[in-house]
Amino acid sequence: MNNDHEGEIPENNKPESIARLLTHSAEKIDTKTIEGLRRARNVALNRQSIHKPYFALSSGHTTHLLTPHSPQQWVAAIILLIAVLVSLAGYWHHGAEHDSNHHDMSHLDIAILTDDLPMEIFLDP
Amino acid sequence: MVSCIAAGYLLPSHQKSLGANKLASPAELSHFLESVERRAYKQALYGVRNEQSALDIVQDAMIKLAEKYGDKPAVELPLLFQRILQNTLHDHYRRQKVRDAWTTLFSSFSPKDEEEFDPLEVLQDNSNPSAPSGPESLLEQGQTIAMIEAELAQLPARQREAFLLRYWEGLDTTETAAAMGCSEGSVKTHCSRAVRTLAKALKDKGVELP
Repeated sequence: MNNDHEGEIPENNKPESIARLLTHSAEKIDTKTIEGLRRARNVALNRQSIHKPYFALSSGHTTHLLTPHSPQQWVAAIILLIAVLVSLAGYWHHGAEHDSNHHDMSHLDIAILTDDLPMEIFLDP
Repeated sequence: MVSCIAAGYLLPSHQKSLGANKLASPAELSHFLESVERRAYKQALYGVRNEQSALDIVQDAMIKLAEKYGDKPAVELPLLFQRILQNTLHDHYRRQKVRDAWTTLFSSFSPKDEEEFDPLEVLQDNSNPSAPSGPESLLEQGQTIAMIEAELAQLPARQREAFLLRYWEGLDTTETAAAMGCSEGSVKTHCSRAVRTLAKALKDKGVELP
């Protein structure tokens, strides 16, 4: 593997010999440095990204962005949902009242058209 | 190559036949980092010549690997880590260059009392007579290693990277080129020059490796 461009290198000073001594040196690192390396390794391992499978109903593209992720987002989503439900209930109630008034007016219109108004209409109160 | 296999990891060029693409578990990542952290630290130390900076660089490289590629197949980790380590080193060089420019600017107004790095200091430290005595061969080996490390630190950054990746980490020319972000021809040139410089330096000092 290591034989390109080696030319006239003395037999005993080949790169392999140098590499062997460097390995020997790396094995003799002081304990303080080894402890520093161990801490560095632990910091890195705490930040390891783990492959997370997508939720089964998610397409895995953009829809997951719409779902709440934090507790605050869940609270906001629930408040929004309650507001929408209250609005819908108010709208339905208003519509029901409007239908009731509309029903009364329809009876009066029919009575006028058929000239079948009750006598009370023409009397002063 | 030998060191990687000994550490339990095969390089990508030797993994294709295995078809392994299992995602790295936390235990596998931990084992991998433990197997490469010392050599990574040494690589960084040769480049920056400062123990704390070297530790910071290795930690940055580990974090980047874990955060961005922690869910990659375990077999891809060695080459990915080398690429990240080299990029982190380059970032450090760039920041150092900017810092040096400002330091030089401001230090021109103050007396120079800082000493520059001298590889001879490393040699003196390692042959310190107050150090615990041992077999003569062990002492000689320590001196030789210190000499080699000092020469490595003196090499141009790209030559040092190519030499360490190619001959110490056991990457082939293609993988070294990928890790360094350059062509295979450049890798061969850098390696050739690094090997010749190191060999000449050792020869000049009368060192013959065992």
